[in-house]
Amino acid sequence: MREQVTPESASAIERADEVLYLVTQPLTAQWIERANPRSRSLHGLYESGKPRRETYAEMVDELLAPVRAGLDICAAFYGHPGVFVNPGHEAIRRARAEGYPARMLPAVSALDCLVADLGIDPAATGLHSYEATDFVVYRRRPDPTALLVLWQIGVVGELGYATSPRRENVALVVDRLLRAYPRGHEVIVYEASPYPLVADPFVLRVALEQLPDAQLPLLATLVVPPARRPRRDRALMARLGLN
Amino acid sequence: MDGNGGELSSFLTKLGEDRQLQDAYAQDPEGTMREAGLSDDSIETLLSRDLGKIKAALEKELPGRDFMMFMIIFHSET
Repeated sequence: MREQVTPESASAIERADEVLYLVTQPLTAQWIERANPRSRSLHGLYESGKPRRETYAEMVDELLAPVRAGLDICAAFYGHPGVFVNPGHEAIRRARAEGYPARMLPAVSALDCLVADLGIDPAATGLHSYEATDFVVYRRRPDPTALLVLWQIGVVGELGYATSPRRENVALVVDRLLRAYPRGHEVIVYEASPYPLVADPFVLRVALEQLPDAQLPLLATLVVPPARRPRRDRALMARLGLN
Repeated sequence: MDGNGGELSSFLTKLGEDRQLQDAYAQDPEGTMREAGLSDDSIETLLSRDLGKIKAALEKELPGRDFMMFMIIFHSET
């Protein structure tokens, strides 16, 4: 749907010689194809068992081939084209390296939606975020005084397609979080609405220890509010004249 | 309704493009949907504003569309 597509992006889609897209909602695909009949999906490049890096490389090749043929190409991705979209960045880097002008247009990501829907201002507490699998694999240390956002909490440990969250994997994230947050700390399972005119976002507030048993959409993001206030450095404040 | 797919997807497509229809829907969702000829099932689905229900109804209407769930997983090099 085009409600959250910027006018700049909509214009790029409409005017391109060819649009290659990757989206999750059928209605979004339908809108893109109506906006520009010279559109085609990149989903066919996904195959069960194919290494993900191979799929990414093929997507980049698919995007660059018409560019090399002299066409004006628009690549459209779900959410923000530069947030969790490896081929988006790589295609631009390669195009520029080969001498073709290329640029990324900013868009609305899940983070932008949750700030608006949940009434959270990242400036108030600070913000740190990780991809959920990355968070556990690399033993990230959360700062319980700042807002934490964990992307893709519904697909922890999944390297390919998933149809439902693996709760034992979600439990591993919870174990990691329990080192910094109390068991009863309220966390928020969030999914932005791709149809904001008619559908509300998915918002579920649940105690951290109950997260593995909670309803968890595949596209969900986990929001962990701060558990306590940060401590002031009074000596530094004095040096800054902030007393 | 015009457009491809079922009545729900056609209605939502039109809603996304028609500012007057958006205003009418904001004022009176059920009346606007009845005026558009939506079935009771579709009206009930949209009135719920339940994201899961609405997505499921749309996926049921557009079964042959080229879309799938995809995930971009970030892998650090180290």
